[in-house]
Amino acid sequence: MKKYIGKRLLQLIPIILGITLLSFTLMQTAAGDAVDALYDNASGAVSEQIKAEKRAELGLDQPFVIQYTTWLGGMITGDMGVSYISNKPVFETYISKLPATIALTLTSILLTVLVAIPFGILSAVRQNRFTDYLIRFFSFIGNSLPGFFVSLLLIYFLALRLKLFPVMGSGGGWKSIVLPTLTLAIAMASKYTRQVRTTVLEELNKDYVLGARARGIKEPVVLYASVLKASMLTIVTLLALSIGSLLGGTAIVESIFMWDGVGKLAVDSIMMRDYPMIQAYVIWMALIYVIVNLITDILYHYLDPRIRLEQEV
Amino acid sequence: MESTIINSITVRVHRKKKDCTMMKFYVFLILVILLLLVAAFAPQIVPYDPCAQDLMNALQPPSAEHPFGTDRYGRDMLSRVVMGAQTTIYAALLLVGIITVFGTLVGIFCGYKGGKIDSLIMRISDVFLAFPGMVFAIAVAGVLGGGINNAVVALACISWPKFARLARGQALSVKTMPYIAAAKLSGSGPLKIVFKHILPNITGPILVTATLDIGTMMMELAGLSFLGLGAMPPIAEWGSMMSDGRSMLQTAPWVILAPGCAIFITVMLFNLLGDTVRDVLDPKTKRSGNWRKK
Repeated sequence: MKKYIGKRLLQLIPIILGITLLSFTLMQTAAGDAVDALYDNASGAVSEQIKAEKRAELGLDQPFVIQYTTWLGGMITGDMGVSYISNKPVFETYISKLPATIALTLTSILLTVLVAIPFGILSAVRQNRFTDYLIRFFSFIGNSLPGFFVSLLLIYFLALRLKLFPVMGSGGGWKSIVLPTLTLAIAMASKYTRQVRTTVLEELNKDYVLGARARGIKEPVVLYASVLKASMLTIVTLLALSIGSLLGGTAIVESIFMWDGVGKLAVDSIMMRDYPMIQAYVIWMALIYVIVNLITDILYHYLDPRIRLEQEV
Repeated sequence: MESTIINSITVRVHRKKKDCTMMKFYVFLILVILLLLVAAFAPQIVPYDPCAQDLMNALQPPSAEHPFGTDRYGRDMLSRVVMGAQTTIYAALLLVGIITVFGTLVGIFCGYKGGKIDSLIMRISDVFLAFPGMVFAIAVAGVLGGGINNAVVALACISWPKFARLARGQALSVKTMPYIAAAKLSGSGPLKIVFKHILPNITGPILVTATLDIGTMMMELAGLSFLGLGAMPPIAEWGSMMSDGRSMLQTAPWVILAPGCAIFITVMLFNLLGDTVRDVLDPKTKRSGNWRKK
């Protein structure tokens, strides 16, 4: 097992190398750089000479290969550089934004699970009846609403009209997390309700359920002890993937609600061409990707020991 | 005697269910075709020029003259929403088309060939899968200049691996079938095997995934435009129209509602079509059939 995890974590190296090289190359091709972004936003025209001096200071006048190797050398020794815009260390800034994103991830996943699992089971048990149609109707609607539309609707009705929650910002205590959580949970809960329903239905159609019923085992026992346990495999995997994408920061939702997490940081850095910060974001995405995949594989193995881990690599 | 009756009943019930699925399929297909027609002939059917500014009539609430109201430059929202349909639907279909074809070809190649080249391409696909679309979009914008095509290219770059993996898995399982061995024995070349024997047998799941992906991709594209990384003004696109109306949410909510509802209805229609396509093509995952009566 340890060997397997080690082997999988080794995969991180080529992925991180590939992904950072890719983003460095892409940033070279993007129009404008951090210096332009920095001075063009400031009032008044700045002479090309000042810009050139700033570029030299940041090393932006160096050839591409040198820029990349300098950055890579720094990263290996644990120095991720300094933000071009705020002049603060990248690593510390990035870490300081993580708690907000993690908090949002936890609340929205929790709400999703609390909604999706009971409603999904209910929908499956009451298949093709009114409850089922109602649940499916709502989950279908939730599935087709883009996040930015949901968040604007929530802001309009709950924050502007009813004044129940603050419009934006992460400083307003527990109330400020409600709207972003709802936005994220509506989409995810819709998706998972459908998923739970399908999985539970599939499981209910299996022969062992018929056998259990024939032996007179009570319906709740069949449902919770056997069916739900067997259905968890699919659901847990999907949840792990969702947690991964949430930890990557939900750029749109975080920017709309001015939630001070990594998603908003990423959008801001991209707009300002803050290369070192973008690199940190890209590395974080790669880390999440590899680790989430590893965790789902291990969960698979744990929940269904027939699945062998070693063959996967 | 009794069993024949039961058989005929089940056949009839089955047929009825199938008819129902097919009918649903045709209904949604016709609706989607209507939507596509609206999008295709948008310039001809809009009541006003979608880019014509009329500052005297800025931010008018919905009225008989402007059913969806006007935005802050006095542009007619109805015309902009209809024109936006063209931009958004065209971009989403283009995107799904590109990633389906490219991903499937790469996937079949990897699955069929196997070995080192397969694992190399799969590692590369890892890099793309883990890569944030926003970073791609801004870079593509630098090369190609702004516009919705950037967002298409950017999302295509990070979305093709999904189809490559699907096609690869399918190709791997089809490859071991006896008829492939038979085709090889009878002297078929690899190209013929791939295109004549493997591809037709894996189109079902790929087509289903592609149809279901149209709605998702539409939302992603609109999301990039919303962040200002996709369609550029003054082109009408639903995501950027909503981003434009954000600051006027309190005073002029119709500027958000019109494109928001448009995107919601369109995505829902494509999702409904995708669901029925799955039911038609893939009876295994059909969600009908009552387990209680089984």
